[in-house]
Amino acid sequence: MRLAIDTSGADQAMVVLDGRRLLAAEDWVRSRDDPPVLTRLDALVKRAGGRPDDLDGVAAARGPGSFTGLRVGLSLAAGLAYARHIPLHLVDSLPILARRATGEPATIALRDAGRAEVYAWRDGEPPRRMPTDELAGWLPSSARVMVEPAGRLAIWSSGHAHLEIPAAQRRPLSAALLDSAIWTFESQKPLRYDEVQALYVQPAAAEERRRKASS
Amino acid sequence: MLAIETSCDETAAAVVASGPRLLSNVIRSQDELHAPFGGVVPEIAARAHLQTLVPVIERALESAGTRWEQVDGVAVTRGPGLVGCLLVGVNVAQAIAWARKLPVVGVSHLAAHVFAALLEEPELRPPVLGLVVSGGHSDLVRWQEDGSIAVIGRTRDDAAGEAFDKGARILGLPFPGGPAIDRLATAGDPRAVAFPRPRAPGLDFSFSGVKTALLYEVRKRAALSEQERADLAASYQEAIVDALLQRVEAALFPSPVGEGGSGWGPSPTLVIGGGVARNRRLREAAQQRFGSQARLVIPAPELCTDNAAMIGAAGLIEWDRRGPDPAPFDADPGLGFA
Ligand SMILES: [Zn+2]
Repeated sequence: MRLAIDTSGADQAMVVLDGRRLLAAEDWVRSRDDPPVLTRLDALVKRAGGRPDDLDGVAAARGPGSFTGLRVGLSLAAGLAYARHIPLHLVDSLPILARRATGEPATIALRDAGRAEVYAWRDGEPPRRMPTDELAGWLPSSARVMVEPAGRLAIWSSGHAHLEIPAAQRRPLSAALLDSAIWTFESQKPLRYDEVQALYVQPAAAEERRRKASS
Repeated sequence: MLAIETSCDETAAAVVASGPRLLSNVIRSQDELHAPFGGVVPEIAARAHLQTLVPVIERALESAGTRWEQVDGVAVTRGPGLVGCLLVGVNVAQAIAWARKLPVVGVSHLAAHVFAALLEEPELRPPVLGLVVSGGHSDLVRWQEDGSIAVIGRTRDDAAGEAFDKGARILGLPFPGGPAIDRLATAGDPRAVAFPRPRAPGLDFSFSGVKTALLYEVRKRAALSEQERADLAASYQEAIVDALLQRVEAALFPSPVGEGGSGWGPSPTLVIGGGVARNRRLREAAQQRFGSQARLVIPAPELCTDNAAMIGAAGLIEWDRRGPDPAPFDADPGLGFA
């Protein structure tokens, strides 16, 4: 039994799987008065008919995403993996987002990074942060774009609004997470604990000041 | 008990047996990471916790020679502290506990600074007067007979550690400022400059006045010679230490003593904890002032600075008092002594 968790964005999800088979899934939207994620995790594993001892792998989304969400998800995953001596994997968040498209995964995934910036990913490249007004030059005209939050492409780059996959053609995050988890567990190498690192949508303010001062 | 602490810039884990008896105490300091910024950067601290906490826990269990089967519970700092940092400890601790079906107890970092004394004097029992002095806190507390901790005095402005850090910056000393002043002060004359002894109402503290006085003293001089700098450091340190101990004295020996006595019993017990309790002048002056009139416990420096051993000691106390936490909990950055 394996567990995968994505707490990087506003939509969050957790899945429990056995091989390629889904045992239980939960989707929720981040909110201020959420219960601790561990409360959901405990309920989900019970619903899957499992116990902590049954876990033999854990994966967590590494971002880009929010400070708090990623810290919670990665800390839980690291604690579980360590306590049960099971493999720990980190999964890039934007490819998961791309898999929310029904049918083929989207070729482009964009996540709002705040401050008029966006985190952008396309297959075969690492994600990159860019000002929204650079999107027009970066987006291929044939792209299928998955955007979070949905509907934002019309605001960021109105000429490309038609490229965004409409809300009706989105699957729950947990469905995309399941696909990503299967691929990750089957083909990726586990991490060491000192490699556990999140990618945040924005750098820390103090680090940015320092980078500007030194350049 | 496996104990975990990540409230600020030390990543720490410890194994504490009942007693409490310390079996291992591992601390990974992040001073090097924060020094270029002249202070703790919350995001950098949280990132370092995420990368190092599990390896630190691994090392704590290894060096205690403890197997998982021997761990009966997990204690973790629930607050107060930097929220992004607390989150890491609280979630790693509870994930471990969940995965190994162990009970968890979330404890107050501040209370733990008082309970650290139990690691050296396990038979210590309330009532105890506690002085908790660190970069974020200057609190005078009473560990009550019912096991709770009541705050009887607090700072009105800066914490003592903050006053040391700001003073160090004024004197052009590197971060962290407290140890830098402590070192430099050994070469200086504590009576060279008569800094004001701050007075706040009741048992409260106030340090902003003495900090301003230091700033004026530095501005008065065109350039500081090494000796002047050392004298200022020694005098400034003396003022802070004296202000702290004045309040301790007022709490221990209220005059006139009421009908119920001082409330501390025939031989009062004083515990000093927190990062500033490493300060050599504070330790020495407390000994001179109260050594013969009170039972004075200032834990070893490595138990005063942020550490997980004290979280383990607090965990055992809280476990006895209220049992483990019944359900998963979040970090509480504003938590007090409770
Ligand atoms: Zn502390």
